[in-house]
Amino acid sequence: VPRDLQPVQILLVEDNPHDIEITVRALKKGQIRNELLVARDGEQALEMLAAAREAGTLPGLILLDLNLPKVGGIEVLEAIKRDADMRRIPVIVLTTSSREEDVVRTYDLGVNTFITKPVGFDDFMRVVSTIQEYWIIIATLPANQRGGPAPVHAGEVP
Amino acid sequence: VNEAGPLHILLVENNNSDSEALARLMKRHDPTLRLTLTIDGDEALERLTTHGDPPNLVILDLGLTGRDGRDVLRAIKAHPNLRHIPVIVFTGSSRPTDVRNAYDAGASTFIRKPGSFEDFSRVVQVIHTYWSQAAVLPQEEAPV
Repeated sequence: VPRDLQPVQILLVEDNPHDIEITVRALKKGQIRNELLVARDGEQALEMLAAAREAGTLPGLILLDLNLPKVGGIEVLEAIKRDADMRRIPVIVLTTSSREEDVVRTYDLGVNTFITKPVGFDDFMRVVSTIQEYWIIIATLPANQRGGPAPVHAGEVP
Repeated sequence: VNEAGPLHILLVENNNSDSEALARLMKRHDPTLRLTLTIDGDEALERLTTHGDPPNLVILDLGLTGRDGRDVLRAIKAHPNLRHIPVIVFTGSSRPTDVRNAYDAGASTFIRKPGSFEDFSRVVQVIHTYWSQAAVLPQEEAPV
């Protein structure tokens, strides 16, 4: 298991305040102090990513809800995965949907994992911890995306 | 338990001891797991394209004999009936270009094979937990 763990900047795209809260709490329980940015709709997510790309500070990991105001999660996923600079960023869809149609469509579009949000608080916490263990501790993320200064403050969670 | 159904993994690995260790560790966590073992890229692609009953997850080494893992990944991601299957690259390499190229080519995850058995065991357990308990995988019978 790698010993050279560095904080990873995670972009959470989520409009439900309750789900944001659980995700923040679960990530804080982890052994690494990752930086979390939050976009509250798909449009804001795309704006934050465009600004981060300009600054050369794209996030290391994206957690994406599907059912979002303004621009939906599928469109955000499509935009990320057809962009030469952003497509390598792992995107985890975290949604209440478990429809096979959504599962197959998002994997076809290049999602790195589709995860259905558990209903209960404890189960949700456990899933976020599992995501963190898998992606931050076990996986090797694309090298140029680790660390770096925070590019965007609009949606930052205090 | 994965609410979408059972896990069926295709492992593409030419190192027998890694292959056996991974199979043994995963089966210990999950006796119902279906694991198809292949030893090179041609065998893996043949298994994926000519058999029914496709796997819902692929674990792929990069350094294979014959057609290498990078080609296998590209072939899976270029195939309309296979491209939705997540591919985990599980390899001894940690070269930044291998990492970037794998994600660019559509790998779901790049995971470096740890050297020690203790770490290998933990990594395999985390991979299994993540894909069997957190992730939802495509389950449809893909026509191939």
